[in-house]
Amino acid sequence: MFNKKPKDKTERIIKGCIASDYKAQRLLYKIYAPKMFSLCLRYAKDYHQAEDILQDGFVKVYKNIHKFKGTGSFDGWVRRVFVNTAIEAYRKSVKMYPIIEVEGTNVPLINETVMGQLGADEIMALVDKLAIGYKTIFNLYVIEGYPHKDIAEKLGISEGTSKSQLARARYMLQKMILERDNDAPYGEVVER
Amino acid sequence: MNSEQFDKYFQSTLAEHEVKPPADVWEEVETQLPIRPLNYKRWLIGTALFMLLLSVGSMTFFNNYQIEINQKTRNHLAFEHTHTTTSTNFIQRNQPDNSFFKEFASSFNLGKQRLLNRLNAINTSILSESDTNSTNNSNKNEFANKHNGVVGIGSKNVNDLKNISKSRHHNWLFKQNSLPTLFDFVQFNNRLDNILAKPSYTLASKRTPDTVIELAKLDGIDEIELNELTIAPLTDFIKQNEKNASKGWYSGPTYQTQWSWLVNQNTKNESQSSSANVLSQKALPGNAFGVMVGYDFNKKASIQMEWILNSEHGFDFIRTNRRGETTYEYRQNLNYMLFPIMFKYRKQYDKQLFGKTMALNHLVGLQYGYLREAHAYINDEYIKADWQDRSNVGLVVGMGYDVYLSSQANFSIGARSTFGKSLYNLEGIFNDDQLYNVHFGINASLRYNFNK
Repeated sequence: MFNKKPKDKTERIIKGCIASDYKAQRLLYKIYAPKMFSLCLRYAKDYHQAEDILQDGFVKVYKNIHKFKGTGSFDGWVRRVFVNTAIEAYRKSVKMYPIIEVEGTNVPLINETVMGQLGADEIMALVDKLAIGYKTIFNLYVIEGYPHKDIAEKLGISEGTSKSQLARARYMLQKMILERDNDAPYGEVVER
Repeated sequence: MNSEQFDKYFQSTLAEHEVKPPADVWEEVETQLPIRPLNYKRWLIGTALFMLLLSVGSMTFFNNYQIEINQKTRNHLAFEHTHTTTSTNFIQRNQPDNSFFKEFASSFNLGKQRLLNRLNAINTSILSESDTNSTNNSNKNEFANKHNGVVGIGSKNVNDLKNISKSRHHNWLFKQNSLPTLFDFVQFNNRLDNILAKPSYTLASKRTPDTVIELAKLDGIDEIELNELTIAPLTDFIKQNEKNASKGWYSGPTYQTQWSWLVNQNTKNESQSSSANVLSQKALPGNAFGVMVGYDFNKKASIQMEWILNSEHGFDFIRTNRRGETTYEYRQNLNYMLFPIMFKYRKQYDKQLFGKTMALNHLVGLQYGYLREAHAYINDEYIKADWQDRSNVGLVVGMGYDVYLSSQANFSIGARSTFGKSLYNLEGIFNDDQLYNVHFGINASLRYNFNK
């Protein structure tokens, strides 16, 4: 992981990028692109949009890297830039995929053994199957750790909507996990 | 598994998950990297080298020229000598009728050189006889009287001739410091062009007025002038004369064709290190015109202020990919009003071009600029820019040549470079380094001297 590498190397890359040093820019891309592309794929409505978000995100990183003041991890800063870029892309596409208030949520229960059988790529694929509104809120809350208040602000929705969408996303994911095995011996969806 | 556990599982699995992006994403990112202009050190080094080369080149050129002329002059002294010893008033009367001398003089077409030739010839004749006979003053007086007070300046060697030929603006002051001739200074009151047509000169001497007047009479030179000179202390006369001849206001129009670049303080630029994309900056030439007013403190130093009403320039950043296609273009056109104030130092040379006396000038000063208009385009699309800060101050350096058209009018041509902090504040176009503007201009101006 990048943050485990010597601190001075990160600083060198940052300084290099601030000075628009091509090698530093290239190195930063090499280190962060795979992780950030995974992030973009989780937010984007399709593969092409993920590419666009990745591209825009890196351009923003290079143009704003001088604003990184060293408080907090650089990893986290880069991640926030990409999340914000993804949200911008989401807000542009929200007209096409409006968030619909969900009345009542179904929270499925699933056991750890089932989860343990899922690989990262499978989980990615499952998240990708969620409607864009659901997966955006799921990503923001679960993966990035944003509170509902912040999510509501970023997406221009109410906190209640954020919460209900998250619950719905969880339900959909668990349902998909259970449905992938028709026997479903490890758990069941419980309506509540 | 509750929601919290469920979330934690997703978080731990996906937070560090990686997917290799397509290769062409980097290429796209690369085309949008922040623009990074050239390093300003290149400008500093380039300008310094340019000025140094021009200064040294000018000096070398003029010095070589002078030595060449003087050496040729010496070669012909013996020839002149045969014609001067019998002359009663060589300067005015003894126009050489020998075709060889005419050819020699006309080959340079320089009035001053012709005059120097004559003076040297006279002096040589004096020296040769003087040295042969005696070296004390009484003998020299006798010799002078014998030759009807012929006045000469000159030297036996080229280095002294170089000193003799040092000239000043409009008035030509020849100092002889190595010869015991009759007069210490010969000052020509007119431009040399006029001397040939209508000789007018002043002689200064440390001798008593009576002696000088007597000698002047013998030579048919204006007595009044000589009296005035000998009454006043010699050094004061020279100082006062130089002072009066060079002080005064001048004014005139000025024009400049200029190029502009944006630079920063970093050591590398993008185009040096990127293999896939090349960023090039093209200066968009513009014109500037205005008026100037200046004051000559003396023959060498002046202060000059200008009001450049309209100064246009711009630049174009073009990024091309490995296939040579333009992937990004940022263009900016600017219009400034400028107020440079500069100190000017002038060094006049004997060399004449097209029959005109010239001087090499150097100038340094500060320039206040007010941004009147700015237009920025990305890929030919106009972008609205917020130019809150419209004022800046820059350093001006330059050099050029003054060509003396007459005692009242000069024509100047030269190169000028300015360096100052940039006002460009378009977010996201350039990287965050402090940017600087660099201008290079070729300028021409006409000046009218009021008090000359």
